[in-house]
Amino acid sequence: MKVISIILGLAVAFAIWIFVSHMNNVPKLDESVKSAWSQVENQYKRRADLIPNLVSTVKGYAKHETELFTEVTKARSSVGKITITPEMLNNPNAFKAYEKAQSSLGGALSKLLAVSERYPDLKSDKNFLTLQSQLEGTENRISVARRDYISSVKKYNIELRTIPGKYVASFLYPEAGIKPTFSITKEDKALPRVEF
Amino acid sequence: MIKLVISVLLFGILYADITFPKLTGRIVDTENIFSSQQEQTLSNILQTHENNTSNQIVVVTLKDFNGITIEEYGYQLGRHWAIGQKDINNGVILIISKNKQKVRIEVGYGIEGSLTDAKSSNIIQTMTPYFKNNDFYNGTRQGVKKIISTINNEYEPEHRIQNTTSNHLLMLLLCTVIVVRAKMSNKIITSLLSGSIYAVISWFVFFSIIITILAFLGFSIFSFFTPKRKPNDYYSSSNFSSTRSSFRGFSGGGGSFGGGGASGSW
Repeated sequence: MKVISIILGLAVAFAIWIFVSHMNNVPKLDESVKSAWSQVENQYKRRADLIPNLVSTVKGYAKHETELFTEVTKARSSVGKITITPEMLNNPNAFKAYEKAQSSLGGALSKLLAVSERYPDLKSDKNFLTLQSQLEGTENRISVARRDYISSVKKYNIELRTIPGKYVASFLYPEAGIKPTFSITKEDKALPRVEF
Repeated sequence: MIKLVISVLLFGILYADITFPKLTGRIVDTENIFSSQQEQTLSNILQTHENNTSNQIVVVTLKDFNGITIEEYGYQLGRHWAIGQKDINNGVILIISKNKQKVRIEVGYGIEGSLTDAKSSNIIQTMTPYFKNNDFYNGTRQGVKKIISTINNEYEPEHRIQNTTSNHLLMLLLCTVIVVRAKMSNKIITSLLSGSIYAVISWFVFFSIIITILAFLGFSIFSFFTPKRKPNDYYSSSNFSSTRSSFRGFSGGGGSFGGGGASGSW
């Protein structure tokens, strides 16, 4: 009898310990996802801010590429229209739309940089070189921020999907759901970069 | 099916284990491109800079980047070594690979404002002509000096001094425990004393009353039941000497990186 009650007591203590140790995981991980997201957003915003300067510099040398300029400007304005609040991070459709808009802007930008290859004067313009290094740096930061975001969402989702976090979360945070994340594309591997 | 395989592969690459060289000092020359004299000179420049500003700069030479790009490797190396002071993230790593003919300035979060990507890129452009002529020492020295002059006014040295004084305080308290325990013979008083000293330490470390009380009780009981050691034991124990050497040597201050900086090749 005594043995059974000791074992039962230990089991209850163990269950309580597990519960307590997982109690704050969901909000904690949720906060780290949010802060990782704000990094992603900052860096994307930074890229968008570079565009007007970049376009006007390239325009000075390559007037005929009007099609490209409109593509970049269009992509930029469509990116500007989509803002994601932390609450929207749980919405896969909003997330997908955001990612799509950003990647089409990225594509337009790399085309713009590729075009500069054809204009030797532009390639040696100091202003352009500065902008180019800023853009490269920003693209690199974007990929770092994306990777950090992917790994923080992964931690969050694992907590929600595995035992015992799953049970604790369904009891304490029934509204918490699996979060969508960036699809791991080639862009997360290699940076769009223009070689001279 | 193919999609699945690709995504698994990419996932594997993305989270593949990367190996990092050991942080042996301010100059980690795994390619052996500097003489020991040159290494000393560079290291002194960097140390003086850290003493004046708390900024940590490390120069590392690498044969390769574990199959990933220098950009991907660089920020992870920075995070692994934790170069720069905690919370202000004022670290810079200058990565050079003679083998891959690549160079990168990796900038910690806290310095991105002064050592911008464009400025880093400019600095790299002044270094690569030297590298082309195989003059790695002068190229690196130029680069380091330019980095220093760019970030010289960013931070005050207080951040670092605070850090070391609290470390010294801990060391002092630990030494007191050791000496007192060696000299005192009354077991109850000794254990209460060391318990309270550990409590003070934990107060400084955690700033939490509960942990302090727990530490007091725990260490009092612990030291009551552990046999008393002779003072010599403490000095010969590897634990003590390793803490001591890490106080003298160089280690990262806890800074983090987010991909800022610029790269170049020659």
